[in-house]
Amino acid sequence: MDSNGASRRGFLATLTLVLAGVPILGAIVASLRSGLAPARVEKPTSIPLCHLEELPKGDAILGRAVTFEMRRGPLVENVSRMVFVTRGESDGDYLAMLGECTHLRCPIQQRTVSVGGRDAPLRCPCHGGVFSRTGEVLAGPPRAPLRRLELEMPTDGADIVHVRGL
Amino acid sequence: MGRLLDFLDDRLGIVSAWRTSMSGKRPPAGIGFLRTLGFAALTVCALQFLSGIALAFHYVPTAGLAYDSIRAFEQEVPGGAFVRSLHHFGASFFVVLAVVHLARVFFTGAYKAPREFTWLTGIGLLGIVLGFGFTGYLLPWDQKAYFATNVGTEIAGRTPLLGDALRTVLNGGDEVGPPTLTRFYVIHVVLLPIALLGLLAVHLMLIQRHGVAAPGRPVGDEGSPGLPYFPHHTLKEAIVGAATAGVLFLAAATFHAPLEALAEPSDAGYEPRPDWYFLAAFQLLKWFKGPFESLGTFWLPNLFVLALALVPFVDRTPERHWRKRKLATSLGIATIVFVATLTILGALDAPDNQRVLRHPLGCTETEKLGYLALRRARCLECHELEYAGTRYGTEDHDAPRFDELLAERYAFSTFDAVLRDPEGELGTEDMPAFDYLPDVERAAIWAFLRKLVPEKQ
Repeated sequence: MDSNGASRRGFLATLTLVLAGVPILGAIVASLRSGLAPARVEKPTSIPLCHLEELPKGDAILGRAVTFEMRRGPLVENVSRMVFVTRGESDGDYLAMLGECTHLRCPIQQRTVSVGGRDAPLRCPCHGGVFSRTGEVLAGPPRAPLRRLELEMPTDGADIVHVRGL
Repeated sequence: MGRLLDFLDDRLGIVSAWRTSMSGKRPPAGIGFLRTLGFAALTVCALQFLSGIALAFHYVPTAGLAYDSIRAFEQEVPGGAFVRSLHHFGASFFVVLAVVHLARVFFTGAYKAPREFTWLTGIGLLGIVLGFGFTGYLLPWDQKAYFATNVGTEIAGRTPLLGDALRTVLNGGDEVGPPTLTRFYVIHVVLLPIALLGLLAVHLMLIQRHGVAAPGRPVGDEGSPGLPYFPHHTLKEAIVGAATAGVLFLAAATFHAPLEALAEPSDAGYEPRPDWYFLAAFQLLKWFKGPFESLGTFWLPNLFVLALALVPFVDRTPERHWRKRKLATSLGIATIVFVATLTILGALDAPDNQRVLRHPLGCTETEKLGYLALRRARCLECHELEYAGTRYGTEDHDAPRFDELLAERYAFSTFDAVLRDPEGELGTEDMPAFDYLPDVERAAIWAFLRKLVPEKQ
C-alpha cells in the first residue's frame, strides 16, 4: 500500500513535470528562435554607379555614394554606401571597393597620407588604417584589403556602369 | 498612530525591517563620506530611470523617425531639452560614480571575505552601466550613433567562436541598419533595466547582510559599532546624493547634450569617436595591428574584466589597510594611471569633423530624401548655403550659393536641366553632371532646397 502510494505520487509528479515542461520549454525555444532570427534582408544585385566617362583617369579616385532599396520582408528602406573606383593595372581595367574599413567598419576617407615616405590615397579616420589605390593595407590595424565589388560595364551603346556585390 | 503602525507591522513587517536595517543598525565606527559613493551612484540611477521614461514616452524607435522625434522632444516638449541633457550627462555621472565607488572598495580592501559576491555583483553592475551607455548612443540615430555602433558591433563580432552569431543578433543582419536600432532600443529599455534591477537587488541585499567593512581593520575584525545607521550615516548619504543631483542638474541646465546630423552611411568625411568613457578602448585598438588585432578587440578588455572580477578570490590576505597591501595598492594605482593615459591619448586624437547641414523639423518624406540626396551627391562641397544664420559648405569654389540662387526667381525646370547637363546649360565644365541621380532624387533635392529657401511671392 505504502509503495503503491509512493509510486502514484511519483507518477503524478512526473506527469506534472512533463505537462508543464513541454509548453514552457516550447515557449522558450520558440521565443529564442524567432527573437534571435536575423532580419531577412534583400538588396538589389546590381546598382547604378556612374557614367562610363566618369570612370577615373590616371591616378584619380572616384568616390560615389550609391543608394538602393533594402527590403526586409514587406518593409522597404532607402540605404546608401560609399564606393571607390580606381584604375587597375591595364587599360580599361577598373577596381571598385566598398568605402568601409575592414578593421571595424569606419568610413574610409579619400585623403592623402604619407606612409614610409610614400603617399597613400585612402585612410580610415578611426584607428589609423591606410590603404593603397587598389585597397591593399599599407599601415594600421586592418588585416584584409578593402572589400572588392564587381563592376558591370554597359553593353549595346548604353552608358551606365553598375556595381554588384554590395 | 501606534496602533496603525502595529497593524501594518503585523502584516508587512515594515517597522521591524526599519529597525533592523536602519535605526537599529550600527555600522562600524569611523565610516565617513567615502562610504556614500554607492548611494550617489544609486541616486543618479534613479534619475536615469525618470528621465529615461520621459524620453521613451516621446521617442519613436525607427530609423526614419528616431532623429526627428528626439529633436521634437527637445524643441516642442516643455523641458524636453533639459531632460535629454539630464539623461545624457547622467550617463557620464553614472559611469564616473560607479568607477569611483569601485576604486574606493578596492583601495579600502572592502571586497575581502565575506563580501566577495558584493564585489562580483558590483562588477556586473558596472558592465550593465557601460552597456546602457553603448546601446544608448545609437538611439538618436545621428552620425555618431551610426558609426560608433558599427565599430561596437564589429568588436562584438571579434569574439572567438561566438563572434559572428553575436554580431548578427545585435545588428539584426550583417551590418548596422534599421533593424539594429529596434534591437538596441529593446536592449536599452527592457533587457538592461531588468538586468540592472535584478543585480542591484542582490547587491543591496548583500550589503544588508554583511554591513560595511570596518575601515582599516583586517578580515574578521569588524571593529566596534559606531552610531546608528539612521539618522547618522543616512544624513551623510543624503548630503552626497543631493550634491550629486545638484551638480548633475547644473550640468544639464548649463550644457546641451550633443546631437549631430542625421546618420548617413555614405558620409566619407565623418570621423567617428566614442563617448569619453570608451576612449581608452578606442586608443587601445590602434596599437594592435594585423594578427594581433584580437588582442585589442577581445583579449585585453575581457581579461581585464576577468581579472577585476577575480580580485577577491585571488587576493586572500586578511589586510584591508592600503598601506599594508603594497602590491594591491600599486596595481590599483598603475591601472588608474594606465586607463587615464589611454583616455587622454584617445581624447587628443580629436576628430576633424565639418559642420554638417541638418534638415529642419517637419520635413516631408520627399524633403528628407532630398536632404539625404544632397549630402550623398556632396552638393555642399562646391555650393555654399546659408540657412538659419549659419553658412555651410566651402568658400573655395565660385559655384553660386544655393540661398542666393533660390532667392531669385528660379524654376525647377531650370534646376533640373542644369543638374542633368551642366555643360550644355551653363557652358562650363566646372560642374559635374548629376543625371545619374534618379528623377525622384533630383526633384527631392529641389523640394528640400525650396523648404529651406521658400519661393518669393
